[in-house]
Amino acid sequence: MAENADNGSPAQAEAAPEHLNIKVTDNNNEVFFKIKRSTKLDKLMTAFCERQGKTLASVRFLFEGQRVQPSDTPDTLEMQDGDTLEVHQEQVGGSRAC
Amino acid sequence: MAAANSALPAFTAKGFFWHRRFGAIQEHVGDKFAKELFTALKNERYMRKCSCPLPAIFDSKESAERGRGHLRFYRVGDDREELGLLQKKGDLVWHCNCTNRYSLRFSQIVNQNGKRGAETDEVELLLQEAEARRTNEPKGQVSRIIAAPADTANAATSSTSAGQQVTAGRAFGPATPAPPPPPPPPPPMWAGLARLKTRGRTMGKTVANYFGSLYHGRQHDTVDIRRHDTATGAVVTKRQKRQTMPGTFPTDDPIPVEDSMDIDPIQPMPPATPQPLPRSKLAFESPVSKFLSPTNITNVPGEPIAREELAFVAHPPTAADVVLSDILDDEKLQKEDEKLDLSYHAHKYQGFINDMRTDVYTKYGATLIWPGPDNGIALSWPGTETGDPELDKPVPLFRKPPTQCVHRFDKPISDIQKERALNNHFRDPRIVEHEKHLFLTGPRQRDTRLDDQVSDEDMKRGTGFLPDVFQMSRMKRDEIDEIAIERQVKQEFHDYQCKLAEEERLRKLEQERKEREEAIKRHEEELRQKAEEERRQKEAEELRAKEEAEREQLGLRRPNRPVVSPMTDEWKARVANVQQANPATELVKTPDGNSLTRRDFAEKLLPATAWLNDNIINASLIHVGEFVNKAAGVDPKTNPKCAVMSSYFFPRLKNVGVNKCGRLMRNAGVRKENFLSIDSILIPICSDNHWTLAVVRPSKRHVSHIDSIQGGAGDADVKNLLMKWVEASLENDFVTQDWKMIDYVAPRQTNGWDCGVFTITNAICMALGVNPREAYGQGQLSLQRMRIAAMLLNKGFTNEMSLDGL
Repeated sequence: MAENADNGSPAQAEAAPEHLNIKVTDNNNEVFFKIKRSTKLDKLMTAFCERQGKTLASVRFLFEGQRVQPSDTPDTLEMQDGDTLEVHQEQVGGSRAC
Repeated sequence: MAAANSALPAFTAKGFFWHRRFGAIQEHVGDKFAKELFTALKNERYMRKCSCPLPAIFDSKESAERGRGHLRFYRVGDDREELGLLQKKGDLVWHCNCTNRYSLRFSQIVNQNGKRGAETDEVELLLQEAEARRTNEPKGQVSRIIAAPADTANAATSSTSAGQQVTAGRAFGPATPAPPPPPPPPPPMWAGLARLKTRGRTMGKTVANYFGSLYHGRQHDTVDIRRHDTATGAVVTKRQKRQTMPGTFPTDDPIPVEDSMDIDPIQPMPPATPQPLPRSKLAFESPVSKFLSPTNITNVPGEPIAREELAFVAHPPTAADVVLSDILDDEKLQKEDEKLDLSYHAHKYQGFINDMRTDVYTKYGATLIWPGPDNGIALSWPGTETGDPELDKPVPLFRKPPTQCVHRFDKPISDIQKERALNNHFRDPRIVEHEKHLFLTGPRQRDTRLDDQVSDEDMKRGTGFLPDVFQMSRMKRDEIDEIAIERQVKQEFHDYQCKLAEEERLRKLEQERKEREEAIKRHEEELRQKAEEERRQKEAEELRAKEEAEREQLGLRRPNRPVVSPMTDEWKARVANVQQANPATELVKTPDGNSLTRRDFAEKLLPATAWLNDNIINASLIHVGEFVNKAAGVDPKTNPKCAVMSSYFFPRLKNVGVNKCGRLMRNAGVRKENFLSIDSILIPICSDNHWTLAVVRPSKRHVSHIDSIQGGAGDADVKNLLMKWVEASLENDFVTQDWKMIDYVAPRQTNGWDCGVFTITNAICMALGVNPREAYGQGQLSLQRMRIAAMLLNKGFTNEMSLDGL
């Protein structure tokens, strides 16, 4: 917890332990979200996509390599304050790019 | 306008134009030179086989001037029978209408035609006459004065130079200076006006006849030529015939007809009256006699047959002819003569003549008279009566049979035999042999049998009339012919049979040869097939052994049925319906909780060239794992046989580290405790827009990476990384020498869109332990896309989509 607090914004985390600071990054941009532990990540994902101008269907939110479903909550994913959600592009493949 | 035209007729537009165009005109008037040129031109035209008409002959000089053409002939003189010539000055080349090019000079023309060239004094005469004509002087002083043959060389040179002068110095119109006066001809020549008139008329007639002969084919042209001998002062006139046959040049040699001073009109020769031949010889000189057998030639009383008359016998006397004089029995014939009716003889003769083409008589003007004198046949020639009754009486051809032989030979019979021997050389040898026999044995050895056979009936019909020797000869000849024919037929039959037998023999030989060859060929074919069969079996065994070894090594088996099998129509319809679904609707939820929408199916899977996305790949592989684990009856969370990692596993492994994948391994049910009991761990990898499949088979200690582009072989980096992951996962249980990196052989991808389908299908095979190389091919993958879609809609490999029996 201490580590995570250092990484995130400790004032808010201490003030509201029910809230988590989540970093969402797609390698270029980093967006911090403060959400409740019981909030569905659907909201977060939609907000990120809107901000970045992407459609939900074409991006993948991964938490420690695991695909995040819209119905997941930080609780179900055992997320902690300051954890990072990685945003990847949809994986598409047909042939080796030459 | 009219007044102007009449005042200046020569300067009308047309006349002026043509006049100017024609330019300076060279003129020859009333001379035979013009005629000769015309003749030469005509002959030239014939020789060139030119199809165009001759240069035109105009009615008058005026019309000629207005006419067209390089050469214009026109009629002059009172009778319009002389010929004048207009020619463009200096133009020695002219053309006919069909573009054949005449390029001859006058002198060349006449020389080529066997005539002399125009000579100086002649030209001068022409000029003189033209001048006289122009000034209305008395005309007619046209003739040819030819230099004496003494100075031929000078004449020749002066001829050519004079020709040039004429060409150069001649001008059209009275304004031109008069040419130098010619040497005056001897006065006596031109004294008699009447004779000149006659001469001119003759000449005109000649010309007119000449034109008439163009179409009537007259062969000769009569030409009078005067020669003036300067040495003696005499003038010699020669009348010559020149050949002017159309199509030929006149011959070089003139045919002299007369050589005299008289040039009166030619008197025509009276037509030759046919002279009748001497009557006494008519019978023999007419072709009829050539057709008669010598026995039938009647001796005209009082005219002994001359020896040469025998020459009219058409063929050399045969043996029968010769011996006739010996064997004819006068008395017997006499008796027969009396016994038989003469009309019967005549009838026979008539037939005989009919056999010999009676028309030859009428062709030569003869008429047949029958019965003639002595009841025979006679010939008469009506229209040739001479008035002499002795000569006019019909000539008997056939009378009573001759009482004596007409042949009299004034040479010994041995000579005749020699001649005959010579003749026999060209005759049928069988007949010759027979006649020789007749000669040797003598004609008196008659065949009595033949005599007996001649009955009265035969005699009446005439068949017995011929002498026995004739009959015998003919019968014998026929007999010989029959024997020869029979022999020939036999020989031919024999030859034919021999030929047949030979053909049969050859056919059999050929057949045997063919059979032998075929047998050899069959044998070789059998041997070849046997060897081929053995080779094939050996190859198949080798292949099988190789595959066995490969399977043994890889731990993969041959599939029991194709992985990609046809779908039912119901499932096809369900898959097709996906295309019409609402884009926002969740069509199916994958086991890992993702929703698949129309986008995933219609844009990422079903089109034949679509690239598959991670949703499809992950969901399909999870279903594969579910099927395998369910079939094995194990709990996928605790002790899976087939563990499936998501496509996000490998990037994390690569980017974050081999130790940072605990959550993913937990989700897949892979732990250190059960790691080695797992049969296969399927790891889809998407790298650089390319789907590949990594497979870790802990139970066999194999790590492999299947890249469809590489035909199953994988990247060493991937395998190394996986090996590190395995080592990190197993920690102390990892035995380095046990683990191997394997390259499988899988169907090769040759297009640019199917790698995701390859990945899923390879995953199916690897999870089931089936060799993918034997399980499917690239050509089935468009169907496999529909099968995957159907499987996803079916939520797993169940029921119809089951992988049982693979």
